[in-house]
Amino acid sequence: MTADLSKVVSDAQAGDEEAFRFLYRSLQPGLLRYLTALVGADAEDVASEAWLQISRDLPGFSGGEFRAWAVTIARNRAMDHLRRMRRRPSLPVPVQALAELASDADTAERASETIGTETALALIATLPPREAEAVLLRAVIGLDAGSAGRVLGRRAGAVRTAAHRGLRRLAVLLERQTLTEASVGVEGVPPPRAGGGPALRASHVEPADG
Amino acid sequence: MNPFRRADHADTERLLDSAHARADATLDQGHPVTPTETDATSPEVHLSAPNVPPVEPVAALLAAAAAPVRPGELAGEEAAVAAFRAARANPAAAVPQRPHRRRVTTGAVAWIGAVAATATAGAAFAAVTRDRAPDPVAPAPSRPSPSPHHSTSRSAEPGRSVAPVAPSPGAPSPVTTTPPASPAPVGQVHGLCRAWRAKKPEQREKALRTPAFQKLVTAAGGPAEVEAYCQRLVPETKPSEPAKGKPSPSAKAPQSPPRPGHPAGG
Repeated sequence: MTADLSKVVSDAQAGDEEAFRFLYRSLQPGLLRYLTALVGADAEDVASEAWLQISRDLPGFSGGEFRAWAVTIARNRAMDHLRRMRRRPSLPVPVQALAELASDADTAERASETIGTETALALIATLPPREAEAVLLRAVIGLDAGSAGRVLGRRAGAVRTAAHRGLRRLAVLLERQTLTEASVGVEGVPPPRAGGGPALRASHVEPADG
Repeated sequence: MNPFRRADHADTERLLDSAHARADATLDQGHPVTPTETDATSPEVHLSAPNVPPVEPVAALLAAAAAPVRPGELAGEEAAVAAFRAARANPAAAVPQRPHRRRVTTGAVAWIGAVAATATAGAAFAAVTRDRAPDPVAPAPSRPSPSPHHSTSRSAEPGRSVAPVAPSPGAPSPVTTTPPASPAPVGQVHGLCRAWRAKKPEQREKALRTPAFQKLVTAAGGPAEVEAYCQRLVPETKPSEPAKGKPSPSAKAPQSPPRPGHPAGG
């Protein structure tokens, strides 16, 4: 896929609008999910900023892994955003992520059958930031460890370790969740739902629609 | 009952890779992937799908996180394409030659903006005062400028008003124009005076401490003399338009930093 992508990238650099669309469509979903873990509800705004810069700087892109280059831009925009907001880059993770998981899956069996994307992202976002970023870059955006390391300014081995720890933590979380579900019993008891919206966004109060 | 606890890094890598493999599979279906082609209506990932071993809750979680595109995730596509189009139409603004110089201080950006707004004398002045390599500056590429002379009549020497200010030095241009003649020091100070006057009064003093205005300070004999000096050198011919008058949007924008507490200023 990387070879195909580089052809598309050079087409886009030459001005092919359809090629640019393809890049957008292939990268944006993962990018948005990654940014959601970084900046919460402002992810779409940050993604827009990132695409603005990507489209401006695309002629200067000199090869290599395009997605890593683009994700680095997006991550820098996210960090700028967090600085502007004077927030620490804490991952906005509500406790109700687990409740959302419960609402998605009433029983232990079904918990291992289907998990909503939003819930999965919320759970990943409960990890320490380094681990969450490593997992998201690897699994959601699909970078290899080396490229993810370049995005994060860390070695590939450090990314592997962080991702490994993150997944282990997630496994424990899921197991605990399953046990809780089993012991409580779900017959007719609706799971506690703190907010109507998606888990990740519930922690952010957004007065104005961006 | 948690097999993952004993998993080693190789297992981790395999899990992480397989999570995205699914998303890649949807990508490789064709060049333009529209949201409707993928199963955008079902954000759930079913573990019965191939590539995902059903034994691992963590694998299920990753597969869900890497699920195909969901409705709304591509909402910004047209805006992004518009930005792409704009960058293509106006490559000068894209500054592709120096992507790492984006972090110019906002002060410098504001200053350059002010210069671009006010220095009608043209490229010679801009090229000299921007602290960049003073290579011959071609006019802005591909920007139609039907009459470059129309606004530069007052007090501009002949031959200095040929080229509009090109914000990107070295941009290739098929159009051949005469490169700006060697800038006369007097004309340069003229331009500096105008640029300085274009600033807001509260920013003028600070501006004189910047290297860009050092020649003006030197020529005037000191920061305190600049105002009188400029008044002698370039009398303000249009009293109806004071210097602090109408800063162009491009000059003004970087001077007002985003206020914290108003994240969505729309």
